[in-house]
Amino acid sequence: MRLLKVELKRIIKSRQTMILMVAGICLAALLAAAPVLFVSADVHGDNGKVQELNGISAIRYWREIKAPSDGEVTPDKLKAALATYQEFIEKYGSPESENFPRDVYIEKIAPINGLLRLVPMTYSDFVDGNLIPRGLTDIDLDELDSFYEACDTRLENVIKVDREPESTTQKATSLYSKVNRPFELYAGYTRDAFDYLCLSIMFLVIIGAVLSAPLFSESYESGADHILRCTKHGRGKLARTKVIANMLPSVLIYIVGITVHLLISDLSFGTITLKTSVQALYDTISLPNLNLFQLQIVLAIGGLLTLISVNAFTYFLSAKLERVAGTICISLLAALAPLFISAALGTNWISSILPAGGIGLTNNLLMQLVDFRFLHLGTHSFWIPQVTMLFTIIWIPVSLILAVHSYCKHQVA
Amino acid sequence: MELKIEQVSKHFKDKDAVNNVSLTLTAGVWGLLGANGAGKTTLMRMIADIMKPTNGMILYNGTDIRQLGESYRAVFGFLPQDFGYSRDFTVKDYLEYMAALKDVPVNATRKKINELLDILTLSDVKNKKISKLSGGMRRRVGIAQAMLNDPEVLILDEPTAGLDPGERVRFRNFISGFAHNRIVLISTHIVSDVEYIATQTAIMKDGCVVDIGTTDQLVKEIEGKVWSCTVPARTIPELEMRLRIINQRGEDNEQVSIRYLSEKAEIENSKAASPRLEDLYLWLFPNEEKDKEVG
Repeated sequence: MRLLKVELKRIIKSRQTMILMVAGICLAALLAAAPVLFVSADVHGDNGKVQELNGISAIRYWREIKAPSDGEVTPDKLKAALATYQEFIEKYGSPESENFPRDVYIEKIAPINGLLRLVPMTYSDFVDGNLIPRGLTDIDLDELDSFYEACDTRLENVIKVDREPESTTQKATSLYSKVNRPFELYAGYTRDAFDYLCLSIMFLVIIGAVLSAPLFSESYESGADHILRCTKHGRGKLARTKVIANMLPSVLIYIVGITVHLLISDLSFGTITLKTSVQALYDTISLPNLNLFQLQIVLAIGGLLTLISVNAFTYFLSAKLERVAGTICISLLAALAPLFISAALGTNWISSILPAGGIGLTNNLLMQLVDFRFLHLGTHSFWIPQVTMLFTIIWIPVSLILAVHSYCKHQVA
Repeated sequence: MELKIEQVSKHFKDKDAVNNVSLTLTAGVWGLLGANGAGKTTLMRMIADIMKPTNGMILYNGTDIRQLGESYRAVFGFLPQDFGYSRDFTVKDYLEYMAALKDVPVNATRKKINELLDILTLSDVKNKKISKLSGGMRRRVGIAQAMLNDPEVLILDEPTAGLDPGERVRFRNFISGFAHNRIVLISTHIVSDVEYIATQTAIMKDGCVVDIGTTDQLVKEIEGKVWSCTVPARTIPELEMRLRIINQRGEDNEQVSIRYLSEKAEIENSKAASPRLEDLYLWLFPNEEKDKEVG
């Protein structure tokens, strides 16, 4: 405990830790604020002038407009929404055209937009092995009576199109059968906000890696290691203490950063919107049985595990490499490897088995959760986000054991 | 109390740094003299158990130090040649950190640190960052950490590098007192650091221990090979070409008093001088004459 105390004091008092701590929390706050600021609305005032609203006031405006659709996504609600849409389309043409009266759009179409968005993605025709989405005007109102059956059919069709093996069909169907129905929809939260949450997680993981990189290699580089390792507790106990002491500030920065991010984001978009089902924001056949609040928790925990996994792997690198700069470069490369791999090879399972498998841009845990990807091993199929998290967890003890072992076995050059 | 180095060798890819060295260190101050590259630092690292010997073993009171592990390190203190530290440490924080690593009892830590800071005249800078201190002060911080746990075996690699003459004298006196009932091994190429305080001195050359003994025993080997005389100043360049002049001092009337090493008197009127350990060192390491440092 005494060793942990002095090691923590050393790390926390270092200028690098202070800078990274402040940078991490500020960055998380900025990334939370960005998607809030992206929201805008043109509002016609009583004097007929158009006023542009941005940020929280725009969110409040849209929330107020769209509030009537809030709640469960029932076939009746969908039918009513589609009927309204088709009625006004017939009268004024496409809502995107200039002929469509703005006040009618605001009063009649905007409130049901969230519901309407779910319909064409669910009703697509399976033609010659491809899924062709149907337009809102091509869908018969009565078809919406069986909206949730149509979701099941779409899932089957997607499996057919992707030519997935039988094991995938079983796995996907089993996961999807657990999704709560009817979906819930509370307009307000944007996909941008979740993309930025993933960006925050990625940057906080990178900050953790930078903070972790000097752990052992700094003392190798400065020669301090010569003194440390010939003290009574200078081998295994010091290595274990260093690992714990370094992990704590990284985890603290992450928790504070993500908490700040989520507070800014959720308070701006409205906490009630967090009751929205993942299927209502992303895809009606998304597999996780989560609402947006639960999704945030899953992403935050997944990010924390990724942070610990990347840090642990970085400790191993640090115990092996003699130079801090080299350790930072390689650990950043390791942290960003899934991003590079998915950019080069497209989305694939390789990035899922790396310590940083949960972070990236198009390959992050969020995308894995709402996407429809499986890893096939023999006659078994595994849902990619589960594979990613499994490997993330496996990397933690493996890397930590290797790090401590490598430090203890390190020989002075 | 005995630290036995048994046929220890360390071979690197391109060099035999230490070659079959055997040495038994008992309580007292031990000097380890040798030119740069003689293998002193490598030998010390092996004694500190931070480098594995290629062959041989090091025994402390009859047990292999690798086997003793933590219990050996608990009675061990080490100051390496290059004193490394974390850049953000203040002197006090650093010593507290080292005390925790060395398992110095919590209630004794503050007293011990203050005592060492006083002895090593570091009290005024205890709250300063080590990185902001002068080279000599940093060296003293290094010495302080090595002594925090009152080690039974204290290994100091070039401890006086960067210390001014006054600090060196204080250091020597301190070590002399400290070495009672402990093994203190001081590696240096500054002969005066060990000449007067070392119980025994070992001399290393090309990875081997070439000589060992008390200062008196060692200097006996060079008796009759150290000469002094006075010569005209103008003859010095020519004499430097053919003799190993180890000291020269200007006198009146353009005369220079010189001291040189030779098997026999090479200059008329030369008198045999009483040898010192430094003379032996320079006899054994002729290339060091240019870099020699008189303590």
